[in-house]
Amino acid sequence: MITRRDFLKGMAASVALMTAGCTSRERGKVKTDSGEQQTAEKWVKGVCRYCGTGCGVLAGVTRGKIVAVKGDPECPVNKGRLCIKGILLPKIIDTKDRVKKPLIKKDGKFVEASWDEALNLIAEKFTSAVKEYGPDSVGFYGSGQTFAEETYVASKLFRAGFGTNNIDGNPRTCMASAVAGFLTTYGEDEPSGTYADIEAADTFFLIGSNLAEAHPVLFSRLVDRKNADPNKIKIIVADPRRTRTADIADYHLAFTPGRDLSMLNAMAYVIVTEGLTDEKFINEHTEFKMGQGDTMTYEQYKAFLQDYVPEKVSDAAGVPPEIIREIARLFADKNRNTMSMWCMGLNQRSRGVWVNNLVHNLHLITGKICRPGNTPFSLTGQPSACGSVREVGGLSHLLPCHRMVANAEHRKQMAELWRIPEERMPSKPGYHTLAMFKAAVEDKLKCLWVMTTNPGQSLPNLNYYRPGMEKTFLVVSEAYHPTRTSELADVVLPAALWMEKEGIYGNGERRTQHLAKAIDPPGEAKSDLWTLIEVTKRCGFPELVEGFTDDPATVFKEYQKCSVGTGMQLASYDRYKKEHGLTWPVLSDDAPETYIRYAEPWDPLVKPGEGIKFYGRPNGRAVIWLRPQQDPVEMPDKDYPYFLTTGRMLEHWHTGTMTFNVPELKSAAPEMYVEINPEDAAALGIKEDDLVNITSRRATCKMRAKLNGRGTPKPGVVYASFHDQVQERMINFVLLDAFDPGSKQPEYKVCAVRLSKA
Amino acid sequence: MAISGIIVKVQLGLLDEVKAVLDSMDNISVEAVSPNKEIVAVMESKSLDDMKKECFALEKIAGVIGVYPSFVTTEDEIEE
Ligand code: SF4
Repeated sequence: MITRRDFLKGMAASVALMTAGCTSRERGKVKTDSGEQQTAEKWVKGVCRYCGTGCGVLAGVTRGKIVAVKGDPECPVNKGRLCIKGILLPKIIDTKDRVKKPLIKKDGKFVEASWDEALNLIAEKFTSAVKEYGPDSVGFYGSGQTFAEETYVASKLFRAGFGTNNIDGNPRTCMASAVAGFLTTYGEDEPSGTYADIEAADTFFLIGSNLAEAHPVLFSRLVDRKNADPNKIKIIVADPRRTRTADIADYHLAFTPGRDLSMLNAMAYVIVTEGLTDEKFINEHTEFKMGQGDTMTYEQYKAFLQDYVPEKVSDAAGVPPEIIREIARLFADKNRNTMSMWCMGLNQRSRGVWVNNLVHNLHLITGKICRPGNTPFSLTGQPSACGSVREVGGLSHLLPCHRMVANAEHRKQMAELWRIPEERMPSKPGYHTLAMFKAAVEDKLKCLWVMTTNPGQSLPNLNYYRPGMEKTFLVVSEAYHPTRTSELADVVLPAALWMEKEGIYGNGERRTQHLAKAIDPPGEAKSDLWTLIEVTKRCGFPELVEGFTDDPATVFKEYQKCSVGTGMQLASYDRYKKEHGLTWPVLSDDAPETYIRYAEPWDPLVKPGEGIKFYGRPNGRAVIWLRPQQDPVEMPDKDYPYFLTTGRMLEHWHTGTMTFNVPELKSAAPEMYVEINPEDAAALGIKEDDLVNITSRRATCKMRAKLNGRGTPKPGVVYASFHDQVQERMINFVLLDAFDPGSKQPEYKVCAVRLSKA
Repeated sequence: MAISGIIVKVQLGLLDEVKAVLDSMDNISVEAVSPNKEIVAVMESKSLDDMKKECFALEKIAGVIGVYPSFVTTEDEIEE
């Protein structure tokens, strides 16, 4: 007789054994099947709510509650594995701060209201602002955590309804430079490879990514690969801070913040001068450009690289010349496959696009692309920044399915798809993120709708932007209240959360995944899709949402049509419901997913005989860019002598609205701290756990010092995570709001500070 | 009661040492070593909070690279 407890233990063992790839013989030893017992009444397929890895999750539901979670063993991303945040996901649902009724601020206080009152107020405010001040007086700020269908309807309402391209979202702050990097190099957004390249690569070049904490399940795949052949597989980690990722690396390059452009050009110099290039690939598939797109020659590129002799740049870059040479040779080794992975360390920079281009350059000059295990791969921070923003057109310069606002033909196509006159499609690109919030400060933006994100905590230089959010008519669609944004709102709309609604996510490897609904939302909370459709109707544009209901399939059908004939064609909603995600392009419901883009035999858009074709570019050639070193906007000086850099930690996510609600995660990391190199701390007389002032030209934060924590920055650099919700530890008050002139992505990763004991 | 299935990733060469530590722990039963040389175990904890604390404590054992839960049930918690 097996007890209930034995049964649950058996289930836990059996899932873990299967996930770890153990044999059926080992699994057979485990006592599980009592014939009648079950761990949950039903298991519902979903995707993790947190990072861009996009792990498949199965939620076990009993009596309307999620009682168990397991990794989806059939999802190729994680094959059943999850990280600690993922496994604790059900804890984000039943929390005290869930919003259950619409709230309207009256006389400075939030009072409960009916949906009718709230929606009518929003419709009245937005339509009268458009009438009085013009279409650009209203805006929408979305998120890489909404469903694709939600952003699609928002985009339609703002562009085809109000007539403005003022629709942007938090992916602007995390991956806009990666988008621009892909577009300027290949003419098409998103990576050419997938996570499957991890199992085929021999050399890994990680730069600006702490995979161990920010993408733990991908890190476990990397460790598996390393352990499979430890002498052959080599891992290079370039990061000014020693991290848990660096702990498993063969090389840790602690470069000086912002000087990675020099280091990458120096690697290219070694590859070119030592004859490690793939000349055939360069001749057949690339061209050279500089500046805004002036054509250059290979010879000019070689001359440009003369400024980046390793011995010339090593002091400034902070990496010894012999190490630069060694890793360049390893990267280019013709007998090895090379995969680069990067994340916010490259993107959140005032020269984020350039530094993205320079990583692509290394792959193009060595021909390490378009073959298994050879790929430049940008990681994403949110579960659907790609699927719900980049792909749907949720940024102010984009239209659905990678179309561009600035392209008249693309606007015409969208007008046809949306069945509206062409002149109703606004041609002027809208405000990018910082411009939108600046417009609120300057009283130009009268109404703003923020959905599933928390800019009141996540923008840089918060002292400047928060008053604008307070001034404008602010609508916040959120599952929780108060947040640092909803506290500034005029209307808070209660939103259904993860597994309380159905829809589509798209992760960082072009994988489109369906999440089913498992449980009902609490109180009067509704899906954001329903809310958007209702507001569209009440603003006088019922024709835009004709046929749409809160069943996302009705919206996805139209969105899928927009993808036909583009480089990112999607399958039908029904197919996604059945599958465990598919990497686009998927040309029909019978067609397979696409592993590698731009190359035969994988990419269906490359015709037989074409071999490799970068079809996003008019001449089919990818661009090798001549991008010089340019320092961050704010470098340390005598008054502010330290670099400050920020990032994530394993236990928390973004602004902590979810993870600080999980007692287990909150108690593991109750407050954020500042990591200081022990040498610097000794010079300043700072000891472990001392309270420290971190002061920039903009603000001061107070945090406890960690001298040898899970990460150690190099001397001259300090590090803090940005998750804390307590104002004196909200490090984004301290950060600079400089941004990349091309991608408009803010430079979160580098600014100058001074330190003192508090 | 929280029951979880966990996969413990270990630095090469330290598998036996880490396994011995896990074997000596009352609330952990080691089920197998996977083909990738990971330790597969079941952990019983009083609550999810304890489960999390124990996972983080495991990560501090010399030789442990990471702990990856693949299943957790809190069934008993909601029945209380
Ligand atoms: S690795 Fe990312 S997607 Fe996977 S379980 Fe963890 S947080 Fe979720």
